Amino acid sequence: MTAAAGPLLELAGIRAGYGDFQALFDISLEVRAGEIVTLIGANGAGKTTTLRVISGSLRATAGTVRFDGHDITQLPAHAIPERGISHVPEGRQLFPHMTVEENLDLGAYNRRSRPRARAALDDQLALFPRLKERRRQLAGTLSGGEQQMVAIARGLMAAPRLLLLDEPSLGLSPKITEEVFARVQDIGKRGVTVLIVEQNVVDGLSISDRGYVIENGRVVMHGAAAALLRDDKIRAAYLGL
Amino acid sequence: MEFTLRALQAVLNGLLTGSLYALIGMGMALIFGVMRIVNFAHGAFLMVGMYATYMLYDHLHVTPYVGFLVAAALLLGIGVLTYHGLLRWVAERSHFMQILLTLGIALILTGGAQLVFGADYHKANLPLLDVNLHLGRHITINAPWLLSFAITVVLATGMFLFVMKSRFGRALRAIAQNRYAASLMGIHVVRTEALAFGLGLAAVGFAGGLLLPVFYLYPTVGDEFTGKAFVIVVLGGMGSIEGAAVAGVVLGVIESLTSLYWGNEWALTVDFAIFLGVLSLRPSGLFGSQRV
Amino acid sequence: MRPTWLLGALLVVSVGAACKGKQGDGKTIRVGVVTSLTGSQAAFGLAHKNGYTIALNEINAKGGVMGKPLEVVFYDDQSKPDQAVQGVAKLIDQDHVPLILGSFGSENTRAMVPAVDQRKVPLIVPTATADNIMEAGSPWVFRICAGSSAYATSTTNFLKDNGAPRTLALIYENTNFGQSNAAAMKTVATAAGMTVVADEGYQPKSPDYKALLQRVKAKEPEVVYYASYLLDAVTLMRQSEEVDFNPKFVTSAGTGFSAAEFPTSTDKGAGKYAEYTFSVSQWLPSSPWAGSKEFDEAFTKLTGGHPAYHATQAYAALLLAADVLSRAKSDQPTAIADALRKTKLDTAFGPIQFDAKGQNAHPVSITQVQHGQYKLVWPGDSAESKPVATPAWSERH
Ligand SMILES: Nc1ncnc2c1ncn2[C@@H]1O[C@H](COP(=O)(O)OP(=O)(O)OP(=O)(O)O)[C@@H](O)[C@H]1O
Ligand SMILES: [Mg+2]
Repeated sequence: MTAAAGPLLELAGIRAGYGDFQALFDISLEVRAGEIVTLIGANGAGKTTTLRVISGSLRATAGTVRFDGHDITQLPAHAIPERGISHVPEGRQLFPHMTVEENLDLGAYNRRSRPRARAALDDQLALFPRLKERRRQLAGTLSGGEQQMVAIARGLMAAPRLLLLDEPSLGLSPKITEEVFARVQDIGKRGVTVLIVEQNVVDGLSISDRGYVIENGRVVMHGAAAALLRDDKIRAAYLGL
Repeated sequence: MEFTLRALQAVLNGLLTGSLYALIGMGMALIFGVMRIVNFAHGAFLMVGMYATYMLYDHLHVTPYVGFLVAAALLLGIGVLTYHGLLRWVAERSHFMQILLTLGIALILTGGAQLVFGADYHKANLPLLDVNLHLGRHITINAPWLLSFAITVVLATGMFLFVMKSRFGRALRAIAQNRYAASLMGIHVVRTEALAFGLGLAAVGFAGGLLLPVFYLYPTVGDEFTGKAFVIVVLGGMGSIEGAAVAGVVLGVIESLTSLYWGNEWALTVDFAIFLGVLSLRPSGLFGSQRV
Repeated sequence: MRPTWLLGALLVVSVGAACKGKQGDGKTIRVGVVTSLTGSQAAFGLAHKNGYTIALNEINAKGGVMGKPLEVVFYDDQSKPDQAVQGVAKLIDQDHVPLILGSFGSENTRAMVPAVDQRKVPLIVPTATADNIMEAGSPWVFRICAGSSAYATSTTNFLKDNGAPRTLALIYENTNFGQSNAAAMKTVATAAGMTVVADEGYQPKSPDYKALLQRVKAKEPEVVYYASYLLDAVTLMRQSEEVDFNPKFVTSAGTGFSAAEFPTSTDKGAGKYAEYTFSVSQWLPSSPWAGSKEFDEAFTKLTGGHPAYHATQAYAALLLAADVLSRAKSDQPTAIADALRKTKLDTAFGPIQFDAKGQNAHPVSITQVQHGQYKLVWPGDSAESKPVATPAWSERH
C-alpha cells in the first residue's frame, strides 16, 4: 500500500483562498515519512491556510494534495483523520465544556482510531503526565499551556501518521514552549511525521529536519533546517539579526 | 386537608402537561444547542405531527398511541430534508437570516395546513378520553394524560441518554461547542446536524401525537407552543436538553399552581415573567449549564 | 443564498395576491363582508358564509337590488383583529364597497369600529355581542344581534324564575367578548342580589383548565356563567367532569355553548358533556318569525346540518343590506346609513329596527341541551320544554 519511494505528503501547485480573496498562489512542498518539517512565514503569509487545505477544511482551487500516494485534494475534512492525518489547529480549539478526557476521546472519534481509543488515551496520559491529574477537569478551565497539551494529545489520539501542528507555542511562556517542543520531538522519535507551523523560528527549526519559507502565499525558499538557520536572509527577516 | 389535596391535584395536572412541554422543549433545546438556531417553526412542526397522527387515526383507524411513532419518524425525515434543503445554507449566516428562515418555514407549514386540511379543527375522539382514574375521593387523573405522561418519561429519558452517552451524542456536543474542531475530529458535521435537527423535530412529532388525544387540532395550534418551548429553553439553560426536560415539567407545574391560586389569566403572564426574569438575572438558565 | 431567494419569491407571491383586488365593473352592486373563514373561529365564519350565501341566492333570484345583481366581496380576517381592520381598509379603499357586514367575534368587530368610523362607511354587525362595540358611539355602526347586557339580563331573569340561586361564578376567556359578557353579567346579577363568588378570566385555547375549574369549584357556586368559544367550551365541560365540578346551573353567553356542533358532535363538540348546559339564544329553527323554518331548510340542504343563530344573523344581515340599498337607491355611504336608521324589516331573525344608538332590540331566550338538542326553556310562554336541574357528574349514567 505504501508508496515507499515517494514522500508521505506532497502538495503541488496549490492555490486557495477565502471567497474572492486568494491567500495561496503556488504552494508546492513535500514531507517525507519520519521527518519533522517547519513552515515559516510572516503573519498572513498563508501558513494556516496551507494546513487547512491539507486537512480538507478549505478546498484548493487548483493543485493537488497527495498523501501516501493517494490524491486527497477533494476529501472533506471529516474524512481526513481516518486517512491518518491529524490537524492540531491554531488557537487550540478545544471543546471547552468537556473534560480533558472527553476532549481526548473525541480525538479518536474516527472509525480507524476508535478501537484503539483506550490504549491511545493511556499513551497520551503517559506522554503528558500533567493531563493525567486533570483528566476530569473541564478543558475551558485549563491554563494556556495545559490547553495546548490537550490539543496536541487530542491530535495524537487518532494515532496519525502525519501530525499538522499550527503554532503550538502561541501565547506560551518560554519554559512551557520548551516543554511543548520537547514533546514534539518525542512524538517525532516515535515515528510520527510532523508538519509544524511556527512563528518561533529558531525553536521550530532546531527540532526540524527541513523547513519551507512562505511569503504572500508562495514558497520562496526551502532547505535543511540547519542551512535555513544559517541563512542571512532568514536571519534578517525572521530572527531580527 | 381539602386544601392540600387540591394543591396535590394541581401539581399532578402540572406534571402531566409539563411532561409534554418537556418533550417539546427538549427538541428545541437540542436544535438550539447544536446549531444555535432558535427554531421558530417548532410549533408548526408540532402541528404537522398532530395532523400526521390525526390522519392515521381518521383514515386508517390507527390509534394515536401508535400513530405518534409514525409522526415522529415522519418528522425525523422532514427534519433531515429541511436541514439539507434549507437550514444548512444559513448555518454560518446571521441570526437574523436564521430567524427569517424558520419563521418562513412556520408560515409555509401553517399556510399549507390551512390549504390542505382547511381551517376547521379536528379532534381524535378516543373512548379512552372518557376514562378517569380516581385516587381516593379527591384526586382524578384522566387516562390519556397519564398514558402520555408515562410514554413521555420513557422518551425523554431515552433521548437524554442518547445525547449524553452515545457516540452520536458526543459528536453533537462537540459540534455545539466547536464546529471547526469537530470537523477536524472526523465528525461529519453536516450529517450530524441534519440528524440533530431531525431528532429535535422527532421530539415534537412524539409530543404532537401524544397531545392529539387530549387536545384538538387546527393549523395554528402550534403557535403557542413555540413560545412555550422558547421559555423552556431559556429556563433550562440555553441548549441544555436535561435542563429543558426539568424546565418543561417545572413550567407545567407552575402554570397549574398559578392557575389554582391566582387564576388562569395569570398563567401566561407568569410564563413571561419567568422568561424575562431568567434572561436578566441568570442568563445561563436555572437547571442546566452544559451545552447539549 | 437559496433561502433568501425562497423568501423573496414568497414575498412576491403574497404581494401579488394582495394587489389582486379588483374594481367593480358597475354591472353589480357590491357589499363587503369581513368574517373569520380561517383561524380558531373558522367554524363560525363558515356558518356566516353559509348564511350569507343563502341570502345572496335569494336576493339575486328575486332580481338583485336596484335592477342589478348583488355581489358579496368576502374578506377573511383569519380570526385576528388586525386582519379585520385590514379587511375594512381593503374593502373600502380597493373594492370601494359602500357597506360592510361583519365580523364574527367581538374582538375583531370592536377593532373594525374606528376603521369604518374614520372612513365613514356603515357597518352592520350580525353576531358580535360585546357592549363596547356600541358604546363607542359611532353613527356608522348598526347591530342586529342582542348585546352582552341583554344576555346577562335574560340569564339573570331566567335564574330568578328558577329558584333564584344566590351564588355565581364567572368563567370567561380574556378577550373583548369574554370580558364584556362577564362584566355585564356581574353588573346585572349583582343588581339582582346575587353574589359573584368567582371571577375568572382565562387564556383561550389551552389544553388544561383543570386548575381553573378546581379553583372555582372550591368557591361552591350554584351558578356558573361561561363566555367561551367552542374549542374551550368543549375542554371546559370535559374537564369539569374530571374535577367533579357540579354547579346547579351551567349557563353561558352563547357562542361556544350555542354552536350547532356543541351538543351533537363528539368529534367537534362536547357530545354528552354538553348535556344540561344552558345558553342564551337569539334564534332557533323553531323561532316564531316568518322565514325561520325556510331558512332552516335551506341551510340544512346546503350543509347537511341545522343552523345555529350565527348563520341566521348573517343571513338576516345580508337581507337587511339588500333592503337598505334598495331604499337608499344610492351607493353613497351617507344615504345608506340614513336608510339604515329608518329600517323596519321583518326577517327570519325577527323584526329589525335600530334605536338612536344603532342597536336592534332583539329578544334573548334561554336554551338547554336536552338529549343532545337545544331546547327553548325560557321565557316560559314560548318554551318548548321545562328546564331540567343539572345532576352531579357522578349521577349521570
Ligand atoms: N477565514 C478567512 N476569511 C478571509 N480571509 C482569511 C481567512 N483566514 C485567513 N484569511 C486571510 O488569508 C491570508 C492568509 O492567512 P493565514 O491564516 O493562512 O496566515 P498565517 O500565515 O497562518 O498567519 P499567522 O501567522 O498570523 O497565523 C491572510 O491575509 C488572512 O487575512
Ligand atoms: Mg496562522
